[in-house]
Amino acid sequence: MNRETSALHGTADIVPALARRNVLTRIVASPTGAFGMAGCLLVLGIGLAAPILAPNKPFSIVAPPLEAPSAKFRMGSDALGRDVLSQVVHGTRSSLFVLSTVAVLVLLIGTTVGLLAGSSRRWLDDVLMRLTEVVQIVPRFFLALVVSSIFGAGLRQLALLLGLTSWPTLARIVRAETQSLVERDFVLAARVAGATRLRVLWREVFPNVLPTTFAYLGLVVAQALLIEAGIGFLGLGDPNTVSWGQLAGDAQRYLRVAWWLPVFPGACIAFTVLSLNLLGDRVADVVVRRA
Amino acid sequence: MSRGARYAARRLGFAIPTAAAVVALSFALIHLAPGDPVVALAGDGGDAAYYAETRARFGLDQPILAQFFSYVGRLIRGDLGTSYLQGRDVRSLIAERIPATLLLTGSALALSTLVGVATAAYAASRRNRVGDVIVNVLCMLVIATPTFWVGQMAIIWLALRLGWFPVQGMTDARVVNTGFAAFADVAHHLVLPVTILAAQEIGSVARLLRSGLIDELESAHIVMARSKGLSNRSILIRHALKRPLLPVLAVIGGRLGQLLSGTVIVEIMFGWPGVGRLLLSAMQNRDIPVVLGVFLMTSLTVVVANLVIDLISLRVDPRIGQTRFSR
Repeated sequence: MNRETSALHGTADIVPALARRNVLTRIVASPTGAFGMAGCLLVLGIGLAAPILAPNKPFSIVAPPLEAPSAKFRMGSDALGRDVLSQVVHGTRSSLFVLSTVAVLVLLIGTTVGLLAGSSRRWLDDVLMRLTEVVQIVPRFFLALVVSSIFGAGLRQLALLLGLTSWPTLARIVRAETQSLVERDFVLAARVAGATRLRVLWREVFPNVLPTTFAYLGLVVAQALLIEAGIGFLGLGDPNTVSWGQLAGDAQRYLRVAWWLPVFPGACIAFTVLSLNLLGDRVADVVVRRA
Repeated sequence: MSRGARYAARRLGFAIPTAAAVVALSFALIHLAPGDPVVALAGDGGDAAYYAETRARFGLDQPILAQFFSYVGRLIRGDLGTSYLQGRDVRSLIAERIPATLLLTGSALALSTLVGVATAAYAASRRNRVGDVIVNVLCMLVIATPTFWVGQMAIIWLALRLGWFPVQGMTDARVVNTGFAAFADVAHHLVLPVTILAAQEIGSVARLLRSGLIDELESAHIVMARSKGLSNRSILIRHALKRPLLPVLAVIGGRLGQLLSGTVIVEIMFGWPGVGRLLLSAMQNRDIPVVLGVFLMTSLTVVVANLVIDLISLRVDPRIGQTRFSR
């Protein structure tokens, strides 16, 4: 009703207050949205409940080496006789750690840079956008490889690095949104009422940027997870934690004899990334495009 | 100066500081490395005389700013240092691996563009019908799947079980081929790695182009072409594809970065004798000069590729650069 068309700016509509209440319902109303949401919740649940769900400790030797999946060891055992199912379940935690660390950092840096650039005068905007482009252009996978070979492998360092380098996409989206928002009547009204620039950004612009931010956050963190998996696959991950990428990398030497070693970790990564992508797409459909 | 020329100048002016930032980053990494930077550059197995020589060669006894400038100067001359593992010039180590990597990455870039465009055209022309839905689902799946998993499954089923493709290497080591047989041998070894490397990119190109094509197919000039009685095929290929291809062109630079990352993984899986395998063995041995050399080379390649793509885009679409925020 009070929605204006912003098609001219090519940016998003603001979700009317009435529609916002049933956003969740509309997200799960489509099959892809429902799949994405269910998948994300499943991964989250498995990660949180890992010690309860896993039949064994991830590093303890409980089976004969390289045993095919059976009723007792549902995903078989690895070359050292460890239970693959337990490793995969515990590996979920590493993924969740990477996903949440990256999400927090990307949200913080991406929105800050985007809000500042979108609302600033030309020079600050230029400086921030050029910085964004520089960060975007450096291949993150290679940077992560270099950093882990110089500073040693560690899940924390890797998550931190991915978080510090994954924000450009989000910053650009937030900037475009901000640029169209700062010209809206309600923002102008707040400024006329005497609110400072920071207050306007924080109280008026930021809440309206947030839905879009969340829509794209899923896609961004999914990419970071794929990079982390690639590093783990190359055997450059943290040796003291279990991660899906690492399990897939360990499996590489046994492709001829043990198909179950590579199948499950890779499938888990694909499932998680797919869920995040589908959920993100659907959220974007609901809150951003043609709401 | 026209707006287009100004835009070109600005992109060029941007590429140089970006390249400088990459160089500064790698310089910073050497000095932030735990311990003495001389150990990072010369390895921990050297004796005192070797360390002293390295220290002098890299000017590590000079103030930090002087070190930075001499580092930049060496890079400009193409000196990437010496691999302490192999005792050889890093530049020639990388250079001899480039042809294999170029063959793999270049083929994957071409394949993903061609197949991606064809897939998108197919899907957009039968929007919301079975074929389109299947293509969409497949695209979402390959985009989400890690490259190494596609590779592992392909090796298990297509190479090991069915024996259609070789599992390792770029050439058959058992026979020495010449002429066409040598070409066919490399091509046979290339099929699986290239397809695996291209898979994710096919998905992203197809998705990007499909949505652009669908919008385009509803536009006035397409309606006009339809009303002229042109066939669907000629409308699609000669009229509708042109404009939505621009964003596909624009993302090639970024895709190259993605592909190069995937190349490392694919090379290692298939024992492909390229830069990726060099990088892995250097990393396992903490051969920092080689690792940094590969990092610099790939980053600078991506910077240059982006610049070239920007300039080509400008040439193809003169509207670019007309507004301040055209990127």
